[in-house]
Amino acid sequence: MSIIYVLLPLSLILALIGLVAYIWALRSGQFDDLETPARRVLFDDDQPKSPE
Amino acid sequence: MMNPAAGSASHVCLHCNAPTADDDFCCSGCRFIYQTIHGLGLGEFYRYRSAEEAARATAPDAAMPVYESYDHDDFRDSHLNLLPSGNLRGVLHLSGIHCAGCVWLIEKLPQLLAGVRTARLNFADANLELTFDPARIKLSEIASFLHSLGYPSCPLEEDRMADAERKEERVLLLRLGIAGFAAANTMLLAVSLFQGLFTGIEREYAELLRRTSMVLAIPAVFYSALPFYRAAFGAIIARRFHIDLPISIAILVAFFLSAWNTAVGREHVYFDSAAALVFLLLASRYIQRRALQRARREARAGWSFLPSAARLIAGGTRRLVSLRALKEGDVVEVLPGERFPSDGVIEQGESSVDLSVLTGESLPDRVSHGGTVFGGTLNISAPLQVRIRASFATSRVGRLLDEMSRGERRPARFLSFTERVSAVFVVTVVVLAVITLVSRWQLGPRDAIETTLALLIVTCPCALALASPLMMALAVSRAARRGILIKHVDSLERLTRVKEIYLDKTGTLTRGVLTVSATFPERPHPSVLDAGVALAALTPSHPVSAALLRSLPAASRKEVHAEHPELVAGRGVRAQVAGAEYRLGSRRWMEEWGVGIQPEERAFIEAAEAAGSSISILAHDRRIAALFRLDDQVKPEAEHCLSKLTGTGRAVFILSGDRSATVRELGARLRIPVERCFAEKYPEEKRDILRSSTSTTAMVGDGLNDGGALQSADVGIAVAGGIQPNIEVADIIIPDGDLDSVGILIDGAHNLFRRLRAVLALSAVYNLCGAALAMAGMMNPLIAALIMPLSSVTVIGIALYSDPFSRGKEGGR
Repeated sequence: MSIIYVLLPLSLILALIGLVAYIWALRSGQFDDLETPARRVLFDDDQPKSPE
Repeated sequence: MMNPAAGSASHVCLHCNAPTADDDFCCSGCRFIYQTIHGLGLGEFYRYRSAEEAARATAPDAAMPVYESYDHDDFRDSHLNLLPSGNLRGVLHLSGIHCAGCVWLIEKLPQLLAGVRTARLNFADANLELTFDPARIKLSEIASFLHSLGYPSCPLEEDRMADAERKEERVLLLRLGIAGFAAANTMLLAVSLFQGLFTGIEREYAELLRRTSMVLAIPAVFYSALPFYRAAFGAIIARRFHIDLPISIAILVAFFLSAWNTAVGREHVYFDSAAALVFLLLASRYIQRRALQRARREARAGWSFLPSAARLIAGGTRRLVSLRALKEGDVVEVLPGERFPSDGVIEQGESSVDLSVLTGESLPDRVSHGGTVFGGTLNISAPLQVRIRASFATSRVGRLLDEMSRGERRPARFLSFTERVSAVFVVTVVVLAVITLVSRWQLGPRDAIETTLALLIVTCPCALALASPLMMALAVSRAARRGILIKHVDSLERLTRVKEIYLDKTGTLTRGVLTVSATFPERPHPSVLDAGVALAALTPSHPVSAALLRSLPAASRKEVHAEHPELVAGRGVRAQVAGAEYRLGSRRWMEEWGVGIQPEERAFIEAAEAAGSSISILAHDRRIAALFRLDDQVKPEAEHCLSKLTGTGRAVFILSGDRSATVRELGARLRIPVERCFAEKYPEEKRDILRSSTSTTAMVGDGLNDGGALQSADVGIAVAGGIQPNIEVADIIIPDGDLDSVGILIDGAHNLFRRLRAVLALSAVYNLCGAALAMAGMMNPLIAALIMPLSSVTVIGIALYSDPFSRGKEGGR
């Protein structure tokens, strides 16, 4: 059962990675606009043709 | 504008789905947009939207506003950012965004216009952020292009409030994430500890788990929960009660008791409950915030009734300058159809001016050299040169706006529902705690203390604290679905106590536009009507002309033209139609000209004027061809709605800037006693009337002239025609202007609070059970961990599921 001294920190580190990822996404503004991306999902990817 | 024609709806407009007679489009605007979109090869646009979304599409007004001001230096300095790459970045607010197709279409901008680098649309806010190369394309060109697709734009004024809101939301999400992390992990560890309570656990592992739990709980308790502590502390200082007070106590007691137990090696730790509590409460705050935001966003009209630029006359040339650059003494030219940029005196020209934005008065005033004009009002018939008398900030409109933005709502007259509940709560818990402490002291001080503290933890009113804001948020979103946008949730409670309701006249009780209510003779000859329409079309922005154009049937589809038009400011218009000379104008002008008025015609005119209506005369050959009686029609639901409101023991008042005769007539018709009808009141006077009232008041109004009153009332309800400043100060917005919504609103508010009291009773039951267990010494972390979520879940479930908001808010139709 002393394995818990290894498992506990390990699992906490994994959880922390998740938390850090969440904070990164938050900081880069991904949670600011939650509605528009829902609409963007519908679009097809077409070839961008730039009128240069 | 959308122009649904009468007749069978066998066809629908291909662009906006409005019913059309036999055409593919309802109007030239829609046709133009459709052709433009297809011409660009973007027909896919129509694939991306649902039928309901299509119905929200509108065609822009034919007149494209002056976008040139977007290219000016001072515009660039104040609204755009220069990027290191040399590109400019800015944000435009667009109207007409209604579906996914709009997002698709607009984000194609870089591919459609050379020089546009990026385009990103925020659908909810309808704000377009774009970057472009100023060397290759001008912002005005981009704006014009967008306008031609059906998306008029206006600059996004620096919205400090939106920025602050966004930051606040990010911080909330950060706290939420951390609390969630803490809660999830402590709960996992707690499972082992609970197990240990029953089957035994080795001391060293128990200590490990308890210590880890404590470390995990620290960020939740000391960072995530800060907003609760701040609110509780603020409440203590202000000597009021707040529901966050017992909550903060519960969280902190849970933590410190558990920390102590961890330090001395005792069993009971409540870290998981504390963290979970913080998480749940923050989650509910976030949900509530989003639900409220949605309603507020839909309320934002997004257009300013002020022009963004003015035409300055200096040294013989005309130059566009931004509004901010105008100084006292500058002379500006204001064309028909444009609004005055600020207060001033007329230097040159003669015209009629529509003051409705300031006074609510439907009929225009005549002005000429030496006369005063006010910023924000509309010039109707002829170009004017105006010497600016005041900078915008000191103009009448500017001061009203400033007052509205600074002004504070009146302080609450009564403790809110949750405050009263918290007060009772805290007192009861303290009493029980003292009883527990004292009665258990003989069994051992330490035991007594622990039991008392457990009592404090388990009597946390988390169920109420969770359910109450969620119910209010739910009410707000149901109301929104019903067409009522509630900006300030706390106004709902004030609404249940309203004793006096003040209603504006023009635009609130009436439709706000003049229509032809009667003609003399009853059926004029078609050629007469054609002539009337043709002459009216010469000054479409004049309220009388607009009324004629709106109300008279287009007798024949063929266009009738008025030739040799002559506009006489303040009098009327004269032109030739099919070779015959017609005049359309006021009675005074006709009498000057020497038109003969028959007795029946005179009777018609006098009856109308006695009732406060206006008359417009169409004459031909010094004889009257037709008389038009113009009224601002009362909304059909007004009578019924007002009698319903009065019936509940409330006093209903009419508060108008319009003339006495018209207001008296309206009051008589709606059965409002004459002492409760106020007429000819300026915006400042309206505000003062509301301020001086001693009862709980509600104000229902639309134009700028109601802004101060809306703010001074206990509950401010803005109706359709949303001038943006009103939307900022109003508590509640009814975009479609339906007066029945006011009654529905009040009923719904009462329903909501009835249900809140029921929820309170239920959560009280849970708390009492928990308290009983605690006082009997049977409390342990497992039971706490069960009771609190259980109570929360059942209470929330009942609050959200039994959704009789539908009966309260949607019933009666």
